[in-house]
Amino acid sequence: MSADKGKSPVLVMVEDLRVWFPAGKGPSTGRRGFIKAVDGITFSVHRGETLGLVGESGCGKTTTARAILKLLDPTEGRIRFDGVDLSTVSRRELRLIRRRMQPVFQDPFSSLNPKRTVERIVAEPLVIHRQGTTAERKARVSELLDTVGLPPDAAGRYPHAFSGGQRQRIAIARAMALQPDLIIADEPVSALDVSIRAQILNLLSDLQDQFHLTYLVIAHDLALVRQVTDRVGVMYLGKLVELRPTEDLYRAPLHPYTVALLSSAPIPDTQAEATRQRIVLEGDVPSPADPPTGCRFHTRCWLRQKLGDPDICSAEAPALAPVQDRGASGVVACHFPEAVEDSHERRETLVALTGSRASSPSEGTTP
Amino acid sequence: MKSPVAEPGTIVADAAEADGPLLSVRDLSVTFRAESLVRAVRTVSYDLAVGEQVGLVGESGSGKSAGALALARLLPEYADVSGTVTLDGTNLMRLTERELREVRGDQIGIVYQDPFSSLNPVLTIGKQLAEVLRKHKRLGARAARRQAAQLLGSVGVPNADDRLSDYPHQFSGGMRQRAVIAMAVAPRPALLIADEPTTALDVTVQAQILELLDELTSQHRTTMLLITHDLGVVAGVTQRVMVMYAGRIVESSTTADVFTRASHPYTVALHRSLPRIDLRQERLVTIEGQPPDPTRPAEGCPFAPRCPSRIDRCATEDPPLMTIPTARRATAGGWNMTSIQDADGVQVPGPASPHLTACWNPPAPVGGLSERGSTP
Repeated sequence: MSADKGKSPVLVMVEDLRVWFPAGKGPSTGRRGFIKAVDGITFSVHRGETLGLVGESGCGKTTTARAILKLLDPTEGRIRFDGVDLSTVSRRELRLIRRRMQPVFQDPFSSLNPKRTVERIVAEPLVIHRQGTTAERKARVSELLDTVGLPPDAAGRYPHAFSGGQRQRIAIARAMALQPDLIIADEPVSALDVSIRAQILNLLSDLQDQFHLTYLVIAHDLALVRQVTDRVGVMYLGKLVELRPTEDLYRAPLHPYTVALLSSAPIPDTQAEATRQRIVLEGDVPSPADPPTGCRFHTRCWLRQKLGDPDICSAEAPALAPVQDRGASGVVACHFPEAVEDSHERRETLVALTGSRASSPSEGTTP
Repeated sequence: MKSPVAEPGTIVADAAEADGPLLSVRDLSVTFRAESLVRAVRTVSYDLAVGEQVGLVGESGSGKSAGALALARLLPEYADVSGTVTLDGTNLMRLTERELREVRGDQIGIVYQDPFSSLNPVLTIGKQLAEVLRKHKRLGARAARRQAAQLLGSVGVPNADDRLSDYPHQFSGGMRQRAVIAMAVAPRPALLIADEPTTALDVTVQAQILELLDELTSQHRTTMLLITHDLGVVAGVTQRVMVMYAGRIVESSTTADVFTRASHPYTVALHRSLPRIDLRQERLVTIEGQPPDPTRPAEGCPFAPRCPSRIDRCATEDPPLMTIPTARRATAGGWNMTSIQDADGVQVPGPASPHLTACWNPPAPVGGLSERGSTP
């Protein structure tokens, strides 16, 4: 499915995006520095697909989303939405584009105004963009509530009368009001009860089928990302390190950081947990104000240690390169992807993830 | 993970060795006096043996945190707590506030979700560690400072000597949680309560912190009660799991059993509704409806409105924790409460208790992940 969607037209094109925030004076240099939250990333989102962005806090995934929504301006680089460059767009055009992309936020307790009725909340985008008469808007709201699985009488009530899952439905109804092309969902279920999450994920998936939506989903939960995305971009310290079709990424990761992430993910299986060998990354993520030279991951990279600290890792930033020659699709930014492929660390990680009865005998059997 | 997970045999032996459980909770109830009464925990009983690592799993509002904080009587004024909590022979419910302060820290260590809230932002990490050591180990200022560095190093903070003079905000999230853990384990408490200790942390850091907790508690035979909403977290570090729903323990067994032979419909549904990291499912199985409103406790089993195995009896009678054979016989409806208790004795989850479920109609055992890898 991902291959087909990959061929569909590009909806969002992000080219060499940089978003730097001014920071205080550096202790060593005394000069004004920058937090390089996003530091040169390029990717596209195709119509009808779900692209996931994963990575740890501070990797720049949320900043990227905010730049696409034009909630902040890029320091450098370009974002095109359906071919239109957002940095040179006129105010009028921007209004039209804003209708076509809508955010869904993590916390439905803070993203809904408690003093407004659900009807007013859901109708708000229609009012802002002057869509329809009052009566038409009312009708549209009840249609939207029905679409997201809320009863009609929800319209007259206030957010506090609803549980977390229902509030997220309200937020989704609001996002759907203007019939957008793109929904940007930042951790859409992580604030919800575990038993409610599947309902919301299924709703998002149904809406995508029904309305041909394109999704950009930001999440840290790797199991969730596997379930809902067609392609995944892995970010580390402001850079994309790997971008692959979802199944390829989980079955054959090519960046050492991706392998480490998969290796850290908890598995709800006592046997797998008892026998797995985790890759433990040394130390913390370095500061984005002063990122490491060369490959940004080199200071914590398990593979570099294994290879005897090759100079190139600290000297040269690896480009995001296609991986076709490995019979795979996507891109990876590592000087030694073949060493990742051959590593027993990757093999161990994949065996633990697929369970003791691995589906593919070539990937290993019971540990 | 260093310690193998499923070793119920050894645990039972350990428990038998000691005179009794380290911690004994009986009929613990917590009610919050808010606008309406919130019945957060409803007559919960369990035992913890010395050196056990036990998971308490539930979603928000299940009562898992309120129940655990009630152990150390850390709940606010407007919480009514009843029942008994016996730690090493002492009923904590009868202690004065001053006696309690000794117990907290000395005998019960607590690690919260947010390490920031456990640290004083205007004191250096070193000062805060030294303070704990001086109070609980009665060390002098200089000895405390020396031990503080050692302690910080022992929880994996690099350059511990230099970092003692840092303030909490200069530590990363993972390092702060390490410092908090150092403070909690410094007095060598018999019981460590870890309330969502990794929820605020990134996934690579989460793995490190879980390993640290596992290491420290195994090393000192500290009993750990690990509270979490994440089934994946308990799989690696606990030997036993108690699942809570709507203020009750609804299932209790070895961790391995809860994963491979879950018997309460809620646990089963939870397993099935989780996205899986090992494969993409056609569609997620949902648990319909919402968790019950704790201000309006319903008659019967609290999970009944959402339960696919619901039978008539579920609407009127709240099932107690039973062994599975007893639960199956009770399905026929011919058994009343008294005969169930006669058949099972009084069932309290503990180190040696059998697999217990609070269900009148437990489905055939299903592990959400017992089929792992068998589907392409």
